[in-house]
Amino acid sequence: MSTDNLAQDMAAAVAALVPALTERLQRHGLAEIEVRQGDLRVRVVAPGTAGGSASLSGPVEVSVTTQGVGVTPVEGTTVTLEPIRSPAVGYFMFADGLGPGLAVTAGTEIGFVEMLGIRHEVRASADGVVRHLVAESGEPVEYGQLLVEIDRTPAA
Amino acid sequence: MFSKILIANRGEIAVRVLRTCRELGIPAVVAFSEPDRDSMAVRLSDEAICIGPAEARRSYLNQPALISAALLTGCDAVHPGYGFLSEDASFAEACAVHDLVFIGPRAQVIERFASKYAVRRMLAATGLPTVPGSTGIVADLADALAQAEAAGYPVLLKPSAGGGGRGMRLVRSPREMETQLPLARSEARAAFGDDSLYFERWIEDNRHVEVQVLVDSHGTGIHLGERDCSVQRRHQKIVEEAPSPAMDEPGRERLRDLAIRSVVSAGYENAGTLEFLLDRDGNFYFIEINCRIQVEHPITEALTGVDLVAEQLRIAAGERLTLTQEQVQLRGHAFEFRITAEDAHDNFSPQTGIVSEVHWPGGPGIRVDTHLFGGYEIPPFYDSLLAKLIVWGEDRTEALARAKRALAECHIEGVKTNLPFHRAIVDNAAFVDAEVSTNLLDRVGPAAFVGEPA
Repeated sequence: MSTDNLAQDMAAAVAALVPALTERLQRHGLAEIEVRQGDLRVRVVAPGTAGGSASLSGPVEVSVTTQGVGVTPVEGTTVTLEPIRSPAVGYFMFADGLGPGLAVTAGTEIGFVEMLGIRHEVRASADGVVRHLVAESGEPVEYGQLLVEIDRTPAA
Repeated sequence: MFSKILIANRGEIAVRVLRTCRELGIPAVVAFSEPDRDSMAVRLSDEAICIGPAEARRSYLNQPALISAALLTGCDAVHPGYGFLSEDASFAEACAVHDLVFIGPRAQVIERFASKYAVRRMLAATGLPTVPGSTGIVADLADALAQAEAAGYPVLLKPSAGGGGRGMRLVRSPREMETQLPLARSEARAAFGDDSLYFERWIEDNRHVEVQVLVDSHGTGIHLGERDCSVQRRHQKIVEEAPSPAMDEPGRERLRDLAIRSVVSAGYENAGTLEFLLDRDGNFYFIEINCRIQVEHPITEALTGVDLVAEQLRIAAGERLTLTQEQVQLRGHAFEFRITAEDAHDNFSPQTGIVSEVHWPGGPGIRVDTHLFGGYEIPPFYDSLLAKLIVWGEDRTEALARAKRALAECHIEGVKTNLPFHRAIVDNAAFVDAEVSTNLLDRVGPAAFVGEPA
């Protein structure tokens, strides 16, 4: 398996796993969940676990590692949230693979709002990490409705 | 009848339409732009949906957004109010394509009544008097002189390719025609690249009178009397009244009958208003038809007791008129004062800001249609209408006394308005004696009414 393929597979697996894990973590008030899929290991940690109770609305820490390939953990601790809002009145659909924990750069496609059969693209307005999926795929949305929140990467 | 209606407008008319929907038990959705999120219509609505940013082109004029909003919220009809898309045939057509009923005339009807010139010819053919003028483009001086003689001086020469008053010349006599025609020609050629001219008789010191009609989709029509809208500033109506104090009863009857017979035979549909110029001798000339609910419709409601918005809904739903002409009773006299965010002491300059406090008059014969509330911030993006004070009395004298009393009770703080003008005009001799013509304000200037700023 080439490194490229590995990276692609990993990204796809993370995209599929992280939203599900985050949701489960928050729903059950767990401190930490870790799953393994082949070589891939995904660990999702709720904030403030050292102090005891996990905050349901607080930031979630996600770390992804593969055997032999180190992946920089993504810290979910920044306070600057970039709201991504609907550019149109219509039905919203997320882009494939989008989920909490996914790193995006300004311009990354978040999804689209379909208004009378015409797709209005929704793109990230800043570099960062997807924090919350506020809207759901297939949901009717109004103009300006909050769709996604992104944790902005602090300026280097 | 409809199961749910999208209100594609803002301000007082959105509130007005919402009220009728409530009374008829029809849920309504208010479509709003971002700065209108905290508006009265949104506050009063069962459901509201943001359709776009402040800029009207991207919100209240955004056809796909409005249609999408209607479909998303499960509406089966759209009320366009006045202004914005209310007389836009393409929007009416787009609604129809998406199985939404446009509450107004059908697209084909709007289209047929859209061109002023074509409508004048069409209605003239049904017996409605129009402003006398040249039959089309004047050929040469001899032709112009002959036709002007027939139409009667003074006449207004207009470039065929022009618009907005550019290149128009007033001609008072055959001698003036000889000098003015070549000048108007070269001016038109320079300005529009086309020197063809036509003319219409200039109705000096005219009054503006309009007839309210309702025509159902089964071809039955009634009129609900006329309104007189002669208090204007730069073609914007400021005060309206009904019935017209400048016409006698036989003249009014003739106007109303001709108007309704003419539009019915021309195939009009839904609520509409036929506008006329009225000259000093009581002659009236048709100018255009408005295919929408008008700002000043409440004075007709005050006289007839008919809810015009409810009638619009019924007609659009394909129902027959519930009233016959004989059942329409015009009772008493009514005024409407358009209260705007314009500084009466500063040449009506538009004002914005926060309305810190507002108090409206009450008591017998008073109705206030408004979207203001204490703390409301007037956005700078839209028109300046804040409220309509509608006053009814058994006769003009009583209505006028009530109007003075009610205007004195109005209290708006935080934003300058045109209230000082209204308070002055109800005391103005020309207004009291019904001697106001449409050009009066522009001729003498508002300062003649309200005085210079203190």
